Amino acid sequence: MKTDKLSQIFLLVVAAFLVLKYVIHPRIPSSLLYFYMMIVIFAVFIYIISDTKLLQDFLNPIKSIIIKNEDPLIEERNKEARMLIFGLLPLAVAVFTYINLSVGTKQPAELRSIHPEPPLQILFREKPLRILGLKNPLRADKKNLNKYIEEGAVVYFENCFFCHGDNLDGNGHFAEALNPRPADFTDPGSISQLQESYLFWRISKGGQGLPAEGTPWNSAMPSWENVLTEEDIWKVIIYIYESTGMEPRRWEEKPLNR
Amino acid sequence: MMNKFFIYTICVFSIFVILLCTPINSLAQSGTDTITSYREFPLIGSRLAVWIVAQIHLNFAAFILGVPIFSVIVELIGIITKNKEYDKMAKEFIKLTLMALAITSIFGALLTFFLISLYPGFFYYLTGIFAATLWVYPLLFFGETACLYLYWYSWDQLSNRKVVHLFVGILLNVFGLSIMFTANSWVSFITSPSGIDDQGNLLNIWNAITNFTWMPFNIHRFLGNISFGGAIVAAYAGFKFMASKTNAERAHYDWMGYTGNLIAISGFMSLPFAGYWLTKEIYAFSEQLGVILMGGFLSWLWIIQALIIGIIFLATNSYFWLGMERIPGAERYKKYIKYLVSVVALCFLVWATPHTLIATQEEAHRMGGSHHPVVGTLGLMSAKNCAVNIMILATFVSLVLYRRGNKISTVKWFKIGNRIQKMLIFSASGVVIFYGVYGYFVEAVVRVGFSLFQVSSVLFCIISFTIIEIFLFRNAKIIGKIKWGKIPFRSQYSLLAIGVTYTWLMGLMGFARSAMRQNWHVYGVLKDTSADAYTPALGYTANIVSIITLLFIIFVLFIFWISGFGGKKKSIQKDVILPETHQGQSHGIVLFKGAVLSAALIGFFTLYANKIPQIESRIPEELAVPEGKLTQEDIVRIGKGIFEGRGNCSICHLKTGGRGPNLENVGFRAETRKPDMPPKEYLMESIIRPSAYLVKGYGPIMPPANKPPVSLNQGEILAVVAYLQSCGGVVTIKPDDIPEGAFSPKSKEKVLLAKGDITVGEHLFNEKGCSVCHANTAEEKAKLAPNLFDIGKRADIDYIRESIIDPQSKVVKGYDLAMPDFEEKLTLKEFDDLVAYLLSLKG
Repeated sequence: MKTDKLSQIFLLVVAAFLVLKYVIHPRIPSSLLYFYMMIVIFAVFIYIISDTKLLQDFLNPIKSIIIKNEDPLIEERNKEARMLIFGLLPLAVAVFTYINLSVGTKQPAELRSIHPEPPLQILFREKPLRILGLKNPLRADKKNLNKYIEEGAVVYFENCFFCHGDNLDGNGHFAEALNPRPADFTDPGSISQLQESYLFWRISKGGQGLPAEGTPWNSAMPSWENVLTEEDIWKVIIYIYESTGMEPRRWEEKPLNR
Repeated sequence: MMNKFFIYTICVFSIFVILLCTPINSLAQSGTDTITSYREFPLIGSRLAVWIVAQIHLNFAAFILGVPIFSVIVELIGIITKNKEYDKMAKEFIKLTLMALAITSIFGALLTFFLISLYPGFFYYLTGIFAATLWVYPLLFFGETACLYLYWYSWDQLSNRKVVHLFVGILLNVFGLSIMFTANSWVSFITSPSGIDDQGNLLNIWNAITNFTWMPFNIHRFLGNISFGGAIVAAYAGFKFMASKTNAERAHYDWMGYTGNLIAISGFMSLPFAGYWLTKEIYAFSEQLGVILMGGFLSWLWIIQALIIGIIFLATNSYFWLGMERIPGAERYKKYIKYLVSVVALCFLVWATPHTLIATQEEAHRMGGSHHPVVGTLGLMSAKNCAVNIMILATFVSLVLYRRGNKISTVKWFKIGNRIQKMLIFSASGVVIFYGVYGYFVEAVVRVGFSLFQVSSVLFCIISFTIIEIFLFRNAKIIGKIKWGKIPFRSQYSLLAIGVTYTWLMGLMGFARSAMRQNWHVYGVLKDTSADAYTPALGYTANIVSIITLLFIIFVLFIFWISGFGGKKKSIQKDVILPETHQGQSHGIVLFKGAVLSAALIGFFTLYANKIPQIESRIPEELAVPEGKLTQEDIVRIGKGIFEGRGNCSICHLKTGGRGPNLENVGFRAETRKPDMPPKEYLMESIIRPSAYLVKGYGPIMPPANKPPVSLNQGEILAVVAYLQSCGGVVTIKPDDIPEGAFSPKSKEKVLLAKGDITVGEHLFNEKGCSVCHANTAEEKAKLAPNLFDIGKRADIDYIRESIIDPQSKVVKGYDLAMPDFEEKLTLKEFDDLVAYLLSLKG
C-alpha cells in the first residue's frame, strides 16, 4: 500500500533526526542537532508549499481528521482518532513544558570561542612583542631547522606531552581529567588555521591570557612565559608543526599604504 | 504638486546648510577637551540614537540608490522591446524612489545632527580628514535630486524622445553612485584608515579616500543596493497583488513582483563574491581586524547570517517553483523540485554549521573539545564556500527551469546544446567541490585564494549557460502564454518574507561593519572612550535590529500609503472586475497578514540570536597597580584579579560547583574551620600546601600556587588571601604585610628562578671555595677570577648555571686560570642555592 504524503514526510523528518542524532560519531551537541532539525523542517515546509497538489495531499489527511466528514462511515472511524489526538495534545504540551522547565543537574550549554583574536602586542617577560605580523625567527635559519626540531621535541616531551600526548592529538595522560580536552594539533581546524605567533601567544600566556571573548576560558593551559624561554617556545612550535605535517598560516603580504 | 516640491527643496536645502556648517560647528569644539567630546542622548543613550538613525538612513539610501539603477535598465528594455508595460513599471519604480527621497534626507540630516551633537570629538576628527569631500558632497546631492525630478517629471513629456530621457536616468545614476562612493570613503576610512601618519594627521586625502576597503565597500554596496531595492519593490508588488481588485491589476503586480524578485536574486547571487573581496581586503589591511570579524566574538553573527541567507534562498526558490504553476507546460519540470530542494537544504546545513559549537561540558568532553571532529570540519571556510556556490548554482537551475516552462526548443542541436549545459553545471560543481576538498590540504593563505577559482567557475558556468540558452530557445515553440496573476496566493508571502528578511539582514550586517572596530571610532587611530565603547552581544543587537526593521517597515508603509493617493483615480477603469469570490483581500486584511508574517520572522531571528550564549566585547582592561601606597581595597582588588586571572583559581573554584570547593563564603569559613588557627594562616597554608586541609568530598588535586606554572609570590598570595577573606569575612591583611614591589612584573621572575635559598648559597660560596678566586662585593678588587658582585644583573640564570657546570664554555677575557668543574662537587640542592645566591647579587 502506498502511504500518504503526510506519513511520508513525517518519516522523512524522523529519519533525518535519527541520522543526525545517531549516525554521526562522536554525537553532535544537542544545540547543533536542534539547529539542523530546524533547517530540515524549514526545507521540508518550503518543499510542501511549493507545489499545490503536494500541499493538498499533505493537508487532506490532517483536514479529514480535524474537520467533520460528510460520510458517516469515515466520520465514525475518524472520531476516535480525533479524540485521541485532541486528548494527547494537551498531554504533549504538558510534557514539553515539564521538560523545558525542569531544572536538571546538567550545566548549561556554553559557547566558547576556540580561537579568539590575539592581542596586538604582548609583554613576554616584560619584553614587548608585537603578535600581529610576528614570524618565527628560527625559521629564517634554514640550516639548523633539523636541530630546532629535535630541540623542540625535547621541550615538548619535557613540558607539553603530559596533556597533549605523544601523538600530539590531545590524548596525553592528563587529558581525561581536563575539560575542555587539551588541543588536538592533528585536527585540520586547529594549528593549520593559525599563524605561529598565535601559538606563541597561547603558549606563553596560557588559559589565563585569553581575552574576555574567549570566555568562559576554562582552559587549563598554564602560562609558560616564566618557564620556557622565547627560543624554547619557537622551537616547540616548529616541532609541533613539523611532526603533525601541518603548515602554519602565513601572514598576508600587504603593500605598505599607510 | 507644487507643495510637495517645496517640501523636498527645503529638505535638500537644509542638508546643504548642515553639511556646509559642519566643519565650522565642530571647530568650535576643542579637540583636546575630552570631557565634552561626548554628550548623552536622553533615555536611550547616544550610541543607540546614532545606531538607529544611521541604519534607517542607510536602508532608505540603499533603496533610493538601488532602484534607479534597475529602473533605467527596465526602461531600456522597454525601448528595445517596444513593450509599454516595461516603461510603466520603470515609472512606478521611480515613483517609489521619489517618495523615499525625503525620508532619506531627513534621516541623513538627523544622523549628521546626532554626530555633531553627541560625538563632537569624533566628528571633528573625521571632518578634519575629509573636509574637501564634504564640500563636494552637497553638490552631488543637488545633482542627484535635480536629475531625479527631471527624470520623473519629464517622463510623459519626453515619451517620444526616449533616448534623451534615458540619458537623464543614466546621469541620475552617475550622481547616485558618486554620492555613495563619497560616503563610503568616510565609512571605509574608519574601518581601515590610510593616508595618515602615526599620530592620525592627514597626509594625503586621496590615500585616505582610496583606503583598503573603499572599493570593495563600493562594489558590495552597489550590488547590495540593487538587490535590496529589488526585494523591497517585490514586497511592495506582493502586497499590491494580494489587495488587487481587477485581473489586470493583479497580472501587473504579479509581473512586477516577479521582476523585482529576479533583480533581487541576481544581485544576491553575486553578493558573496563581493563579500569575499571585502573580507580579503580587511584581512590585508589588518589580520587582527579580519580575525575579530570572522573568528572572534562576531563569529556567531555569521551563523545567524547563514540562517537568514539560507531562508532567503529557499524562499526565492519556492517563489520560482510556485511561479511554474502559472506557466502552461511547466509541469514537466515539477519533478526536479525535490532534488533541487534537497541540494539547497544540504548546502544550507553545511553553510550554517558553526565552527565552534555550543555544548555542555559533558558534550564537549565527548567530542573532545569545543569543535566536532566531523561536523567541525564543515564549519571551515572551504566547506562553506562549496555550499554557497552550489546553492547559487541550484537557484540558477531553478530559474532556468522556470524560464523554460512554456518553451519547446525548435533548434536541431537542442540535445547537444542541452548536454553541454548539463556538463557546464556539473563541471562547475565539480570545480567547486574539488577546490573545497583540496582546500583542506593546503595552507590558509592558498586556501583563501581558492575561493576565486570557485567563484569564477560558477560565474563562467552561469554566463556561458545563459548564452547557450538564448540560442537554444530562439524562436522556440510556446506551449501557452504565461498567465500572469494566476500564481498561488501564498507565493506572495515569499516576496514579503524576502523583503522583511532582507531588511533585517541589512541591519545585522550594519552592526558587523561597525562592531568589528570594537572600541575604536577610527580603527587603530581614534579610541572610543565613551560609556558605550564596549560592543554589545548578539542578543541585544538582534533586539535593536528588529526595532530598526520594524521602524523601517512602518516608514515604507507610510510611503506606499502616500504614493497610493496619486494613482487611485484611474485604477478602476475598464478592466474586468474579478468575480466576488476571487476578489483580492482588503488592504486591512493584507496588512494584518503581512504584519503577522513579519512579526513571526523578526521574532524568530530575535529569539534565535538571544538563545545563543551572549558574548560582549569589553574594552580591554589593563590591570593597573596603583602608584604609591596601597590601600586594603587595592589589595583585595588585586587579589580578585589574580584569583580570576593569572592564578587560574576560578577554573576549579566555581560558584556553580566545580572541581574545587565553592569559595563564595570562604572568608567566614576560614575564621571558623580551625578555631585554633588565625584565618590568614589557614588560607595561606591552604594555598601553599593545598592537601593540608582538604574539604570533605574533594580530592588532593590542587597544585601549590607558589610553584610553577602559576608561581605566585608572597605578596600575590597575600593579596589572594585578602580577597578570599573579603568573601564573607574580615580582611586582616594590612598594606604593610605586602613586600615592596610584590606586584611589579619583575618580581614574578625572581620568585620562580630563585628556587634555592640565598643565605645557604652565600654560605656555600665561601665553603666550596668560590671566594678564593671570586670577589663578591664591589669594594673588593677582582682576584684571580671576575668579581661577581653584580653578576645577578649581568648574567641570566642559564649563563650562571652553565658557568658552574661547564666553566670552560664561558671564559671571560683576561682571566686565563681555568675554573675547576663543580658539577660533581655540588648536590642539586646546593647547586640551586648557589645559583639563587649569585642571582641575588645585583651590585
